[in-house]
Amino acid sequence: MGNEFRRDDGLGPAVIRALADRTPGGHRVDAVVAADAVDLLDAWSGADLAIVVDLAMGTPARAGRVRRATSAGVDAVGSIGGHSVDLFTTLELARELGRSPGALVVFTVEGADVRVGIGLSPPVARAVAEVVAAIDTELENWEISESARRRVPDPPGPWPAR
Amino acid sequence: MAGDAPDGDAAAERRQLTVRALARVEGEGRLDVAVRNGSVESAQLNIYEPPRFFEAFLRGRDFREPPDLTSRICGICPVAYQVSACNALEQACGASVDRRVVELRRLLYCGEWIASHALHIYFLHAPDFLGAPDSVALARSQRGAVERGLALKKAGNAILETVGGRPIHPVNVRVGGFYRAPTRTDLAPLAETLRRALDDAIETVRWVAGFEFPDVRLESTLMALHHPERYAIEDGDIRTSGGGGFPVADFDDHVVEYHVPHSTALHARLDGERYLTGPLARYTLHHEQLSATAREAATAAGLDTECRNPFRSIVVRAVEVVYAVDEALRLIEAYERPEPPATPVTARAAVGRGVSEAPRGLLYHRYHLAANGLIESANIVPPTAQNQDAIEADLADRIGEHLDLDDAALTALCERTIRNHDPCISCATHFLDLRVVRR
Repeated sequence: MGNEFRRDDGLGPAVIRALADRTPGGHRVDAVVAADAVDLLDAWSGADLAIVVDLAMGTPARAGRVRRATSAGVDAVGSIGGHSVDLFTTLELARELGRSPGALVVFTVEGADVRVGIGLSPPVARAVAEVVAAIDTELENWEISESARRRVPDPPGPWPAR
Repeated sequence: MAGDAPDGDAAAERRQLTVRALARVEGEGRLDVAVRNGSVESAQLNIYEPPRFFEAFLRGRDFREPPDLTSRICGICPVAYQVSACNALEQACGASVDRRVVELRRLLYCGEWIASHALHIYFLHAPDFLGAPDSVALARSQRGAVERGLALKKAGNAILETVGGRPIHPVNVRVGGFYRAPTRTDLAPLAETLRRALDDAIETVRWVAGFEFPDVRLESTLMALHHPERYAIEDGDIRTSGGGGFPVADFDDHVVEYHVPHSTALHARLDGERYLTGPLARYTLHHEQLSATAREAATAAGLDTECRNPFRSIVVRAVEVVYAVDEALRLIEAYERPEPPATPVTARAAVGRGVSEAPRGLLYHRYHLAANGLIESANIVPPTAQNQDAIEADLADRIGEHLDLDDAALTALCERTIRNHDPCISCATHFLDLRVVRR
């Protein structure tokens, strides 16, 4: 997710460019820059694994710090209005519509500069490679766990443990 | 939500209701209601978020910048800001825009109407009629309906992206036309999407027509754009429900904005009277110009030749979605690529005024240009500012009819009454306090 005309908010598109034409483990990987909740719902419907990458701004922040979260145990924190559809509300809606991905992992990178302009700040630009590597790891781990799951079925539930 | 004891005035009975996060309305506001001797003395929609100063920072900018700058006022109706700005600036510069450009703008605008109306119908408004707190809960009981809403919004977004370059804050609009005009081949996939969307739109009208509507009539004057050849969207002159009308050039003679102490947003009066713009006004004044398919859907939904019930605005919006999809299909079928995509526009010292019909009502722009093309002053009158007086009057009427309700029910009614008008108060967080003072 992101807007590359707001400097560090271009993180998501930058990661997608870095992932272009890669098919880790022979799996099909669709990379989509999502403009809104509808795009997300469409992008992850039917996917075994969805990975969302977005910039995070906070106080205090350490620019370039990468964090990982999963959907497990996270409740929606916002409400659906025209301007305020947060990621986890979208996930909640997706669950109700039966359009949630098999699993969801969120990578956030703490940003430094979201003023108008093009180009990531140096710490966020360095984090792109870290996120790409983390996505590779995520896919490898997912492959391993899927192999294990195929041998020993998980208990029923929409969010199998990873 | 909480109740308060009287503070200071022993003769006053005071109720204070607080909604800490008013969902499904854009912006920050509080409602203060004063009741004396069992009747509503005042109902004030207090918009307290800071002004955004767009008109101030447009001063000194180049005349070609407003379409992109003002589109940032709203993420839901950026095309309205772009088109009203272009109309005003082209008029100031004496530029005549190619008919094919106007039709492409209309197509882009149809995308915005479809996306905005679908958002409001399914995600903001319908839950009020179905006893659901939000659309997530609605999806639990009416999954198919929410899927239909998402598909419609996606169809609108597809038009915005194909013609405007991206679905939010399109970047392809410029004074004089477009940076690049799509080819017929570019538009072909849209037609496929829209043919499916038309079925969804008609079904949407059927769906909302089945809701229960309180019997309410809004008496404010209605005002909408009028175009002799089509249901006015991207331009036109102004008509009112009293049978009056005036050219856009006279807008400032009829519509006067003014400050009120309780709001950072300006209010407006039309010839000294409160008035309403938006779907109810458009439908009541010009429903005969809707397409045959939209008119049939309206008739089947029980709409008469006028609609002054704000609760039924959801039906009118649904009919307008049918029209916008139908119209978009017509425009794509008849599409001729404008070449060049924009008419060259040369600045001159002049004043320009432009209007268009944003999804939630008439949007007016006025620019004073210097000979070197710099903007000397700008004035933007958005629909929600124009509608505020009518919304407050509507609130006062609804509260007056239902003073017997307890705090929770009265607050819920107030929220519904506000949502009926689809206000876009701002692009910020949601907040409403309601305070009722009874004397």
